[in-house]
Amino acid sequence: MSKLLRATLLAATIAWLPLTAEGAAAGTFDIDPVHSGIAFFIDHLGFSQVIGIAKEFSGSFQFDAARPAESSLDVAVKVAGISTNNSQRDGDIQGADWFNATEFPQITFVGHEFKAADAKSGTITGDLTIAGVTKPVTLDVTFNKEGQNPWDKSHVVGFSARTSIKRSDFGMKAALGMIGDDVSLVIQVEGRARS
Amino acid sequence: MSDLARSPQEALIMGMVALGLLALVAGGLLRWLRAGRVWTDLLVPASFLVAYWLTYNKVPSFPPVGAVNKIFFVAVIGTVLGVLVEASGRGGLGRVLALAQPIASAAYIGTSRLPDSLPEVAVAALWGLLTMYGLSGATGTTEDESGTRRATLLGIACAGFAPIALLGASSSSFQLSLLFAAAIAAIVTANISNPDFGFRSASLLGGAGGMIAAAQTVTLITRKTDMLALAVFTLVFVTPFVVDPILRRIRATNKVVRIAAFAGMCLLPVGAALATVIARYGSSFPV
Repeated sequence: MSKLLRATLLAATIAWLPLTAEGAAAGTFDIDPVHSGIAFFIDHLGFSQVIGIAKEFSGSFQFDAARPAESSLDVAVKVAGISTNNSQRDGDIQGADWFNATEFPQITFVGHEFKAADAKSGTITGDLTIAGVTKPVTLDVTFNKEGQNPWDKSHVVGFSARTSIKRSDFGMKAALGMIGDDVSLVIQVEGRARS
Repeated sequence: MSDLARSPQEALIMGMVALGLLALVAGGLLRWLRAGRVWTDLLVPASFLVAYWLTYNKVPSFPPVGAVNKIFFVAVIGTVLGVLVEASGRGGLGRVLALAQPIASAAYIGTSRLPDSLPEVAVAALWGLLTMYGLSGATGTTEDESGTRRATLLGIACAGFAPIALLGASSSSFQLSLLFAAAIAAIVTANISNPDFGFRSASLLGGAGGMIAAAQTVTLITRKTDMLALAVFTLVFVTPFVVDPILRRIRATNKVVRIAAFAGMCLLPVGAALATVIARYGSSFPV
């Protein structure tokens, strides 16, 4: 085999490697709302945890499994799309006393510090803005999988995240004692790489 | 308060009783001390601020973020301006400020709706102006009777606005309205025969102004108010202009009877507004 042919084969093999090896690609991912979800849980009189979901959200992140500290994350949740499965309550929490959809139509989270604990978990610390109040929040993140979606061949990365915040930190102090102050957030994210 | 109560309703009733008792004691104390109108004029705005604190569990930081926090400062600034007006003895300035205040608060509360929703903000300002005009127009034969009439009108209006606020998806404004109404009922009770009772600029700008800002928040920011019910409810502020001929006809000479008759007439439009929301929303009305 000539030197030229060997060099060509080697170059082709190297070029192919990032496309076949799972977790090898770095890049920008758009959050896939069809396969992502944001839910919150809040105590109701000690009897139950009322479940709310964000129906409309969008965002993107930059991720490289080899260099997680260099990641970035930007998410926006539409307040008018928050649902707790009760229209009267939804109207109330989207109103001026709570999330205030008119003045603050979006909840945002901007991640700025990414720490990997091990190959599968880590934390993202960022600024969470609700109803015009911004507070630092740390998400506990589990890295689920990175690879090719077998249906459409897109490059996908998936995470699960959890955190707990106090609504009073964001100025929402109405009905404390009846409705819990601690709010648990559970987030599932699938990001689709931009082509 | 909610830590002691076994239900949200119980918490609200306990809050109303506690604030009512506080207002009754404060009103009685000022009367016993013969504190004068400058001090009794502070009972209403102080009650509004305590009602706000009980409702929202906070004193907002300055500058306020969001309309609910702005309500507090509308009331505080109104109270301070009212005290200054009374101290300066310029009653005419007080009347001008009382009419300008709801316009300013509509613009302040509705900032985020401007300029796109200018007509809505303008209607909210006009509504506040009519409200303040109605309150200012509640005058009796003496200044203390004028004060008692104004306080009675404001208290009944707060109680009447409560179900409209609840229907307008603001359970906190519902609570605020009822707490403030309870405090005003206590203030009226403590001062019904007090010749030194005053409902002057501080009460108008701080107390009524704060409540108008709360109503403007429900209509402009939460934006789920039933406008027909609100229109019927607003007729309560016409009462001061129709009540005196009726009182003359029934020859009511006793002040307490006149106040009771005035209150009864104020209850008519408020009852009609309540009937309107129940008729329109029936079993879906969130009681």
